[in-house]
Amino acid sequence: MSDLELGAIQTEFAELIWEKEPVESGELVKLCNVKFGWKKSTTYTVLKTLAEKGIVKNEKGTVTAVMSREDFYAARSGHVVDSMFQGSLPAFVAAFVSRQKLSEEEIDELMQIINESR
Amino acid sequence: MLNTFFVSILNMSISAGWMILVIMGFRWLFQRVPRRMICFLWALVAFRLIVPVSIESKWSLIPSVETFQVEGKDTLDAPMAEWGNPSVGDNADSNGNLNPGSLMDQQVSVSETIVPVQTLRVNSGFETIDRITNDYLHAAMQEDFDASGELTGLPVSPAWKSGSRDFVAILNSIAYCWLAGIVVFFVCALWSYTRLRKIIRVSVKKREGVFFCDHIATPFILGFFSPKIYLPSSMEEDALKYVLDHEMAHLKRKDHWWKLLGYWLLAIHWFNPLVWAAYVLFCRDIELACDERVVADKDGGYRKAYAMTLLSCSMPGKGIAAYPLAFGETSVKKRILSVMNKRKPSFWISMFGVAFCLVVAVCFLTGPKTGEDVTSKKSEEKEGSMFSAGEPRTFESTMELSQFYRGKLAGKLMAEGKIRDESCLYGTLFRIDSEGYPLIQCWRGDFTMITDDGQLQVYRTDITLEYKNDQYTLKEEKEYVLGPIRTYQEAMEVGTVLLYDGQEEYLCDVIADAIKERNEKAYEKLCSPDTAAEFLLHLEGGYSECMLASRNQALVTYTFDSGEAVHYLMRRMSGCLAWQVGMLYEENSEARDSYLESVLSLNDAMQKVNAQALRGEDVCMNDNLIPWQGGTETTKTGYAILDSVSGQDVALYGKTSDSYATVLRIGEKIYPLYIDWDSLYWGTGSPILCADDYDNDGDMEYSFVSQWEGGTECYEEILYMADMENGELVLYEFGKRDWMEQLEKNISYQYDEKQHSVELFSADGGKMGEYPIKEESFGKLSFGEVQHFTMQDGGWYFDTRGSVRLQKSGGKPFFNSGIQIVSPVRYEGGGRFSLCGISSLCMNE
Repeated sequence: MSDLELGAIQTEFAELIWEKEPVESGELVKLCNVKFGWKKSTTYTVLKTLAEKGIVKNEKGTVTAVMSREDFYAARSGHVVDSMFQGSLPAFVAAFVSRQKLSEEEIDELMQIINESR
Repeated sequence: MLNTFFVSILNMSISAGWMILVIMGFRWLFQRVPRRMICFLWALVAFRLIVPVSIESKWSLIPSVETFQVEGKDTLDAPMAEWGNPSVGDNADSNGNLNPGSLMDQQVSVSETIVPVQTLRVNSGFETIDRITNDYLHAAMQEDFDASGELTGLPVSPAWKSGSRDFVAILNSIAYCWLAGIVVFFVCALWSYTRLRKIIRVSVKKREGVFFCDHIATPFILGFFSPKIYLPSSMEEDALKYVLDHEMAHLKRKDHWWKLLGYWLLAIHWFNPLVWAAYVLFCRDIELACDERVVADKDGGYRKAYAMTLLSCSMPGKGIAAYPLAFGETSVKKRILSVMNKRKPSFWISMFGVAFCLVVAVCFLTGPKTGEDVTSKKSEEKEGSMFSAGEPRTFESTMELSQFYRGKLAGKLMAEGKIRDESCLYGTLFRIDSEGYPLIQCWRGDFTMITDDGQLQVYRTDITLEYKNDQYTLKEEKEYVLGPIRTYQEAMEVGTVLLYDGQEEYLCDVIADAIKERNEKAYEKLCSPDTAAEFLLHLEGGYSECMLASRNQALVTYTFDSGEAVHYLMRRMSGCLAWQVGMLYEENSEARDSYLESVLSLNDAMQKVNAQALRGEDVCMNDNLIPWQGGTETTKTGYAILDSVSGQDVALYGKTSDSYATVLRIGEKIYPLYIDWDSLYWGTGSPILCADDYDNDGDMEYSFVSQWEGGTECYEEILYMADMENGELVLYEFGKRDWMEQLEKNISYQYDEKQHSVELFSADGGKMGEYPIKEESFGKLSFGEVQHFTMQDGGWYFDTRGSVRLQKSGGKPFFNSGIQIVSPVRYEGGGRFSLCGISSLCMNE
């Protein structure tokens, strides 16, 4: 279920909820502010994302986990999230390196170059 | 405004294009040069793309910094003040003759709204391209120009007098397209930036300025003033160090600014594929330069690890999809190779790189020397051809203007070996029209060159100037050689050749003398109206006929082979033997017709005179037959006697209905004189005809005096001498220019301040007299305002009054000084008169 694929940060957020649940949304916001430096709106956005994935839920101002921690980790297949935004990084932004199509031979060749050099 | 702005961007883009090509070539050839130098080259390109101003230098490799030249305005002017009439009365020459030259047809017509008009000229620096394109453009625009009927002239470039409203519209729409392109760039940037920011919100600070984020695939820097580094949350811990080193290097190099600047330059110059290429390469070079900087001082172990990081981060893995190389990205292979390459670029390569940078800066940041218009056409020495000088000039005064053009022409002719120095060129500029606001004036300069063999060539310059803020700005210039004239059309285009140099001495004198010195035969041509016309105007392929209107005016009709005829009013200044062209009449013009009629009737009268009948004529002008004195004509012949010589069968007659029909009858022979007999009456009462052998050559000469008004309170008397020469009667004049010359040669004066008196000296230094000055101050002494010829003891006497001017120049009019100069007049034959005994007297007043 690729739906359950979470990035590292979202995973940390989920961990926070598992630790603190049930937690008032306002309280959660404060916690996230301290831990991640997030604004209220950011916290709610992430909360919404997780709620949509069926991992947590926010009912009448109280946040609780829907899926248990164990179930969550069990269900993850190891596929990682869509790499979004590579192709659509603004042209004026300097990126480190891009993900590229490299064949097996090319990879081997490059590994050789790197390793053989003293 | 928009049009010109867009065109300047376009020109900058083209200039930069050359630079980009060179840098691309260099980059491809010399890959071992440190990348940061290549980035510096790109910085120079950026400068070229932004800064339009360029210094000129002879090392510039840019063909042209202004490939497209647009002149004119693309917006309506604010409503102008009224289009005034020509402001002053002195058009054309000082005699008030307006030249109906052909260039009037290029006059700007008056209109109430000013239509925006622009013209395009291509100046790419490659002559062939320029010529072909400009010819095409000119033809295309001329069509529109002509078709649009009245087109109010706005300042146009010297080489063109055309422009197109369509072009304004076309260029405008292109310019708007360009703007739209920029907007697209802006919108895209804004959109992707906002999207990215939204994702960035869900991020966690790792340390100051560094954040982890879930949904990004590659590390990057975002932010202009306080840039932050964002890393994918899925990145391995060991990669962190190298990535951060790289990004920090980016920050130190200010790449986040450079890339942004590059993006905006691309947005502005989006139409130029070379700029796209430059940006792509620039982005790649930045990354390579960054890698270089990071690993510069690191050992092999670091490099390996760094390269591995590059590799692993670029590999699609853990479900992260791979994309083809994105915009501005170098292949990871190249980067790894660059990093692993331990060899530092040698000193010489670096030096070479630096040198190259300097060379590029000089060659491409400067523009080619302009000076003379690079694409000016060669001048052809044919009537009607033109060449233009190209650079707009301003002049402070018309004197400066005249000197400039004379000097320019003289320089050219000297270079061609036609004249020795500037003094061989005669003439000046004069204004032929002016109108409008700002004041547009048309000036013409007819500069006459006399060759060593006494031939004459006139070079004409027609200039259009704008007069504003006490300055004349050149708008348009046309230069051509006049003649030969072989058709009616050509005659109309040339108009008259004025031969006026703007000073007291009329050019007909000066030029005539110059010709006389060099070639007597050529001078003789000037002494008759028809041959003078042919000589001065280079009339060819036809024949001329001449009719005298008076002693100093004649109508010359030149008929070409085609049958068409032109009519020139020829004239000569009083006392001058040489004729000049006065006015050109068009075929079938009312002025011509009426003038022709009067001249025809005069000549008719002159021919039909019957000596016999005249001899019997007994009606004298004295009998109040002068028409305006209310007399009635009762003569038998239409002529009345002005005076006769007692004891000889000689009399002077005038036709009562035409004051120019004056005739001298000597026995049976009639000699038409064409002088205004009315002028024989002024002040002196009835005319006096005197006879004597003044020059002792055995023949009788007949003399009389006429007086005419030379100005306010200024009468000029002329002594006429009718002398026989080779059986022909020649009427000589002794007029102002002649006796003035003699006075000036023979009299000098000195003002004594203590005595407040003037001493007069004769030519040999002898004192002629001393005269106290009545007026309170003394400026200068002059003669000639009033003069008389009187007959005393059978001989002619001349006297003139000396007048004192209170200031050396200008100021109050003269006052009678009480000094009188007298002298007998001696006639020496052949038209030579002399004041043979000049003395001064005190007048009793």
